[in-house]
Amino acid sequence: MKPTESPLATAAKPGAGFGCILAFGLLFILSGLAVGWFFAVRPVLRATLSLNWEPVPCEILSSRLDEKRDSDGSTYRVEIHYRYVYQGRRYVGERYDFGTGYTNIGVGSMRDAVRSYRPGSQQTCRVDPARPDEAVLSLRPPPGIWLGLLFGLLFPAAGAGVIWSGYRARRQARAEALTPLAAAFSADTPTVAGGAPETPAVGEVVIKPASGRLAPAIALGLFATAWNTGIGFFLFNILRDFDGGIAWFFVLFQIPFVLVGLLLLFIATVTISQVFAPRMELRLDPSLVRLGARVPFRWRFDRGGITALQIHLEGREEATYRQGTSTATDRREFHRAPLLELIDRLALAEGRAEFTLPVEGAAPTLAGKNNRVVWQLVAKATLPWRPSLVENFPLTVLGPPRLAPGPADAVPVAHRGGGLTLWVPPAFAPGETLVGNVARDPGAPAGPLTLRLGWFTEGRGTRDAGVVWTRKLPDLAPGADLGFEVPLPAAPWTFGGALVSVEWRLEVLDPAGAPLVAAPVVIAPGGVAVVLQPLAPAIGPARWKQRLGLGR
Amino acid sequence: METTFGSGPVNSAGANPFRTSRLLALPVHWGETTPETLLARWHAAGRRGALVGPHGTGKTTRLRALAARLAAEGWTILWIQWHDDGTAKPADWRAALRAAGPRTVLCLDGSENLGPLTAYRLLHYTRRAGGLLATRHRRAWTLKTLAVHRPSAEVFVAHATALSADAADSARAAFKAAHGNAHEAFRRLYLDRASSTRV
Repeated sequence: MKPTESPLATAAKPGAGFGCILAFGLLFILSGLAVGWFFAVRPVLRATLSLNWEPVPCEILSSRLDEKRDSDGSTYRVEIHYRYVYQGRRYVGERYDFGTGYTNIGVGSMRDAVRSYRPGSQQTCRVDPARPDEAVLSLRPPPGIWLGLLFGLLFPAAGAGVIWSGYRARRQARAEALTPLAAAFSADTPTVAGGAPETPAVGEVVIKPASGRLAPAIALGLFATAWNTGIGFFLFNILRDFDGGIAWFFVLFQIPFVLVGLLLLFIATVTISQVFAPRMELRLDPSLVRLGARVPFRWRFDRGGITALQIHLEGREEATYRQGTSTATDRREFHRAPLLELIDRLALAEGRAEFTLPVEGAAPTLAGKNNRVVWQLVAKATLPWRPSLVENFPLTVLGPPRLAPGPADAVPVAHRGGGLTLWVPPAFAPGETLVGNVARDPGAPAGPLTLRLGWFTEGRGTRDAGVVWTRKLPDLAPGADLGFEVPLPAAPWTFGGALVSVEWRLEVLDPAGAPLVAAPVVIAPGGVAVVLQPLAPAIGPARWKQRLGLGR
Repeated sequence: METTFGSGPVNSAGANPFRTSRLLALPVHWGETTPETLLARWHAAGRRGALVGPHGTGKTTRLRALAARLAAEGWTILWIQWHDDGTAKPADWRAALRAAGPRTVLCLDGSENLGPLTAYRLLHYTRRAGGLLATRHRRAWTLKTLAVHRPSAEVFVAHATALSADAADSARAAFKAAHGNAHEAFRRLYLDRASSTRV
């Protein structure tokens, strides 16, 4: 990389227009509520209120099944007329039930109603005492009510989900807009930016799993229900009117959709069953989670039913690559240590254990937007008659409390460019102080300068970068030089893995922000860049088990 | 200067020849349709047009290069990108579009990720802008197609060998396995190299 190109200047602000998402979600909610009100709640409400209406004898004048045909098929309603006398006055009623009009749901029961209410027969209707011209024959809920109820629940749930995800995306975009990288450019004081985890407070806490169970179960359950309701509705209509001929085509056409529906039902059932599976609570002291440290932890299941338990510690690199409109994330493990394997039901319900984080070939947690070093405890619980339950508990791993110092005899190296000479030792340990010197050549033009220290990623992922320190030099005269000291952060370390590398760089910028000279520096224990040796990736069935979260 | 890992330089992510920073620095391969031809077609179409092609055929790269040329000609470039994971950059792209004046060219990458209603309204938003250049996976009736880009094994192999001279055979195999998607093929080459060489 040329000194005049700076990898530290990257920025991204993803997110979607929340106003549009809100409007879209509200549209879904309102549509669902409207459907639910008109086709479910209102008929039930009216039928319930009519229970207080007065039963009155009536005579059926006419009854038939009225059919309405259009390009989508036929819909029906019970067309009925009946005569009744209330408080000495004659009325003619036309309402059979509190249904909303023509429908193709419950046609069989409509036919039965027409048969039951033959013209000339004596029946009982219910009359509204307040408005005697209002009467009804049947108090049964109309047949379409369940569909109305289903849509009335599904659409608002989907709308609320859309709004919630949009709200979360906006909140995340706002948080990212406040990246310390931007603050570091305007501030004259050292600023820690990105990548370095904060030191946690001392004390045992509950570690939350990486993903919850309820949200995917609800989402999958709703989706599977909506899919199968729609497919079932179409299938029912096709089979009801099936008479061979061209209809075979429609029956065959439905087969793949039905198969997808069955698969969705299976996956949704498994996911929902996981909601009711025993929950594992994992406790440890995050301040102890440091490379090279032994970390005790406790676990407990909130109920029984587990027949076997395996826990292992995993460290891996993750790199997300965005080019054009596509996004891909790759993962590669560099550390894996089995911790325990239990089949004694009493022993696995709760217990204590410990793990030791490696000190060689490992790096602290890196939480870049596109590049990450992830540490986690993975618990796999075996349940009878159900798929195994796999939960990941992410850990924020810090560097060791005592690090090998950087090379004591490191000689500053001169880096020249843009009429400047930058003297910097090449390697340091995290937390040490970088002492350097910048000199302007006697013949070089004067002008303000900025010193900047930052890290950036190389490798498979789209680049992440962070600036941890800047200092403005408004008046470095030609022929003059200036010493400076930079307290180095504890992380990220200089490391190289299969997918992600982190490198550090000290730059001197011109007033336009273009680097005039740059010096690479290593910031790692002992001043030697760490190597993350990748483990062999899973292949064949093991790879698919891994992808489906079914363990190794 | 290359960072030294352990006792000497090794092939880590920072030294993988197919790492992202090197992919992004590859020169643009224009083929028969030169940038001058594309810009002439764009002007003839009322300064509104689209580069069309499937994933990984270099649409974004060409759009970026055209944007640089237009910027050099004095146009103000407004770059908006919609990703297939539902995110967009910048997040407030609607306001940016509405503010575009007659000297602004809108470079819209991944506009096919918009919903049909928003895509239609895009025309309304952008009527005051000086020009519009977009990338799409399929032709659109609302926007003239300037060029259709198709996967080219020769171009991909040339790029791959520019990054690593011994990669010709593996590049051909990766391109075939990725069904002509250069992004995916480069990913395969990267992972193959990361797996075959110990870090």
